Amino acid sequence: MTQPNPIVDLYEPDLNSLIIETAGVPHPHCIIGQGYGSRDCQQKYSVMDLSWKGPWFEETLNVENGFMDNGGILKKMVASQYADRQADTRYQVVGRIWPRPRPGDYARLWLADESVARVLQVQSVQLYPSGKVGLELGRRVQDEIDAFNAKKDLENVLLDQYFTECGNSISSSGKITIGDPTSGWGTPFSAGSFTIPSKVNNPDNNCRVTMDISIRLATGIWQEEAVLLVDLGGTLQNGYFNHYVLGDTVSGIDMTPYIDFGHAQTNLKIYCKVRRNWSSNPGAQDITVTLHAWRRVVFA
Amino acid sequence: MMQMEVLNPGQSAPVIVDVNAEAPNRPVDAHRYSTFNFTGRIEVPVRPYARIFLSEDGQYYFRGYVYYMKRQGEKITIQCRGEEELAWHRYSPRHGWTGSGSQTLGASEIRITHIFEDGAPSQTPDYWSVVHNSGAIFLMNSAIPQTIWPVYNVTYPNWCFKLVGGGTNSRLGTAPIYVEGLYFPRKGSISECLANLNSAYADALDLYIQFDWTTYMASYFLHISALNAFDTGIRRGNIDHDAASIPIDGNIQMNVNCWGDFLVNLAETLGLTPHWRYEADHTYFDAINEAP
Repeated sequence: MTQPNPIVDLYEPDLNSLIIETAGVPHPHCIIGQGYGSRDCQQKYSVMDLSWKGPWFEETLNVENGFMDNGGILKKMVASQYADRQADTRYQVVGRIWPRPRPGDYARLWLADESVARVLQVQSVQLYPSGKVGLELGRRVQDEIDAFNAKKDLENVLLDQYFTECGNSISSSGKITIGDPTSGWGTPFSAGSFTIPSKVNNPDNNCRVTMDISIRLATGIWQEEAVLLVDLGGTLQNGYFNHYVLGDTVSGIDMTPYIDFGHAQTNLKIYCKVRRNWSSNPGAQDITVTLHAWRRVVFA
Repeated sequence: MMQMEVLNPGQSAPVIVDVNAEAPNRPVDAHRYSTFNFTGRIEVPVRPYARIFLSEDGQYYFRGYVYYMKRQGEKITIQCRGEEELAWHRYSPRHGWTGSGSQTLGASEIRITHIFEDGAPSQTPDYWSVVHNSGAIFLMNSAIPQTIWPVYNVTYPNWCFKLVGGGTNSRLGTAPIYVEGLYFPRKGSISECLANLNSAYADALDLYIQFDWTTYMASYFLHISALNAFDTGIRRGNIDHDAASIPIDGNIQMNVNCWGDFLVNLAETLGLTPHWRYEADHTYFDAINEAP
């Protein structure tokens, strides 16, 4: 990124007045974007400034149907929100300022108690009859026009059409035996054979394939902290849910990178084990696995 | 006359000035945070996000940070919020603590006190045989926000990931690294890191972590922490309810988005009174039987 070229230097002692005001809500040092999927497998992407040494202020941003792949909107929306929120301080100066900047120009502001200047964008310029100039630097105060523009932006968003299901879902049900640290993974659930058609992967679809896993516990078995493992391909590498709660439904696991489009896949297995040893293994539990294919609008 | 300590971001020691100020507002309800407002002259520069500590005769009445600031000439207006409010600006990833119970058998016996733990996870079994426990306050102060770590190197089955910007010049500095409660020693070079499973290395700019694939596999967002790198200033205080003697029956799961809600809600669920207590060194979170 190129450095802005300030057209004027402003020295605090030379100014008639200087008001420094921070925003009502200070800028965050980290925005954690939360996208598609349930808690265990939710798409997450954060933008942060680890060079900041003061109190750490995090915010979360929910991005509906956000995926963190390059065709998704999660990264873009988090980065955009983070950038928008960084200018949180407004500097209002009045003085005899020359050359006179225009909105959009940059000015260098030297505060009396600082040895390093701040390079700030000029947001507004006001001329007074006395010949003095008033500048608003950094953050601009929101006005009615901003409210109208925000409403217009909302109306222009086509989120309803952004993410649509492509064809029918594929489901498979069966049994899974939940293991424990001593006995190991137990007996996994094998989903049998399934094929995601190759036309789903058409570039125009900007597709995602997701999977939901639902384990229904028999009466008398209550929720327990566990680990859940999705294995597609025999290398135990497609998803390891370290803080899974036995009995919870995991929905929206992004399986796209592991799908062999247009070919039958016969090696999808689900493993689960609780974190402590069973006093008596409760035996096989019901499990259902469902695969969905999705089409997304391509944003330039 | 109160003493105000001003610690601007990036400074290591506060500047102390005497001020005539109204007392801070300190709600009894732990869901709410303290506030302190001041308008007047302060003889030291104050920056947004500066930490402000107020005391009188050694008694601390407020520990917080500058949330809003307006400076006009020599007059300054600051609005501060208590450090405890930062707990509501810390995202809590999914996490759980499992105790023993009739359904499962446990070798270790996690106590309530383990859940509120603020210290680094113990690497050897403690008195109750608990090991690698990541307490809520430790995670709140230390968890690196979950995001994508680009792959730096793969020597199957081991993977080395890189946190861009997490080097020794960053706020992580040389803080000890823990992954799911396991200590990852920092090595002196990237080659030494790649040669050692479960280790870390940082140059000035970036942090590298090498995982043992057989332990972690393709985990969805492991909890990777740098001890107190994101310090709120909050520490575990007095926890009643025989916290150290009663083991958890079953398990406790995170179901909220921020640590502030978790700490206060859990204390209330246990029938305790949550309370934020200011001391000279930290803000302490108490969960006690009697109202303070």
